Amino acid sequence: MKQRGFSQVTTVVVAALLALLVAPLFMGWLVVDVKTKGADKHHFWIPLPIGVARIAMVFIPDKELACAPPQELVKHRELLRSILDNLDRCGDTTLVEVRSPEATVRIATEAGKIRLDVDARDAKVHSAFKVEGVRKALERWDGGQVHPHQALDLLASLGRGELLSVESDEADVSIAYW
Amino acid sequence: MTRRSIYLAVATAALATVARCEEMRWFNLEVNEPRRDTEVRLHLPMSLVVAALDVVDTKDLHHGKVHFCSHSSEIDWPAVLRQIRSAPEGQPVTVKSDDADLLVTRVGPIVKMRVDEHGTEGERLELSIEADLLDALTINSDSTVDVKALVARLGNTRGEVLKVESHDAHVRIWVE
Repeated sequence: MKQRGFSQVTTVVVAALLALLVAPLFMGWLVVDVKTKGADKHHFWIPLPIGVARIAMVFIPDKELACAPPQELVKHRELLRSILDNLDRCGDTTLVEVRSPEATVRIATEAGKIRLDVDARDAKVHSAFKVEGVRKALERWDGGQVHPHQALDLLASLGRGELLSVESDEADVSIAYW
Repeated sequence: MTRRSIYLAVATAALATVARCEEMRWFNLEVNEPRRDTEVRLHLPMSLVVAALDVVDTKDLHHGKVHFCSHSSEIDWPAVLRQIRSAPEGQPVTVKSDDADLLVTRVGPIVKMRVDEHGTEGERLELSIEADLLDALTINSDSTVDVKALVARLGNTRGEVLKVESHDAHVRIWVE
C-alpha cells in the first residue's frame, strides 16, 4: 500500500527545526529600545534571545570576550555583598530620599527588588532589579575577569521587567528583560 | 496532628517575625537645608551602616575611623571630652579658641553643645547628643573619630541621638 504524507524521519526533523525556532520564544529576551531625539531621529528596537546568545558564545573563544571588571567593583566587592545581604532582609521601605531644586532621588526596596528613581532637570532615570539576583551573582564571581556567560547569568537573575530606563533631551533608552 | 502542625508552624513563623523585628534596627538621618530648598532622608538598616563603615577604606573614612580637619584644630578635643564627662550635671564647660567658642552643658541624658564661630559671618551651631553616645566618642590627638564605636553604641539606643541646628541646616539622627 502506498503511504501518503510525511515519513517518520521528516516529521522528527521538522519537529526539531520547529522546536529550535520556537525555543527562543520561551527563553529570556533582552530588549533594548533606543529613541534618539532632535533633528536626526532614530529608533532602534533590538530584541536579543539570551539562549541564542549563550549558544553563539560557545563558538567564540572565551578569552576574546572576557574582560577585566572595573577596579572600584573589585575593591568594594565585599561591601557590595554586605549591602545586598542587608537589603535582602529589609522588606519594603524607602532607604534614601533626596529632594532638591536640581533633582529628586529615591532608592527603595519593593517586593525583593531595589528601585532607583532619579528625576533631574536634564534626565529621568528609573531602574529596578532583584537584590537576590545580584547578591548570588556576586557570590559566584571570584573577583577575577568577567566572562560573558557570567554577565548573562547576572542579567537573567535581575528579574523580568524593565531594568533601566533613561529619558533625556538626547534620547530615551530602555533596557528590559522578559 | 495536622492541626498541631499548623499551630507549630504559625508559632514558629510568629517567633521568626518577632526575632527578625528585634534584630532589625534602623538608622535614620534627616537633613533640611531651607536656604537651598533641599531635603535628605536616610532610613537604613543599622547592620548595613556598620557593614559599610567596616569595609569602606577611603582617604577620609578608614575602616570606621574618620579623620576630620577641624577648623578649630587648636582645640584639644580629648581634653575637652574629659572635661565634659567629669563636669557635674548642669554645670557648663566653656572652651574658647581663635575660631570659635564652645559651650557644653549636660542635662540629664542629653548633652547640649553650642558653637559660636567668630568673624563677620560667624554662625551658631547647636547640637543635642545622647550622653551615652558622647561616652562612646573618642577623638584622638590627631583628630580621628572612631565612628564605628559610635555606631556600635547606637545599636543599644532607640530614639533621637543627635540634633544639629544652624542657619543653613537642621540635622536629626535617630534610631528605631
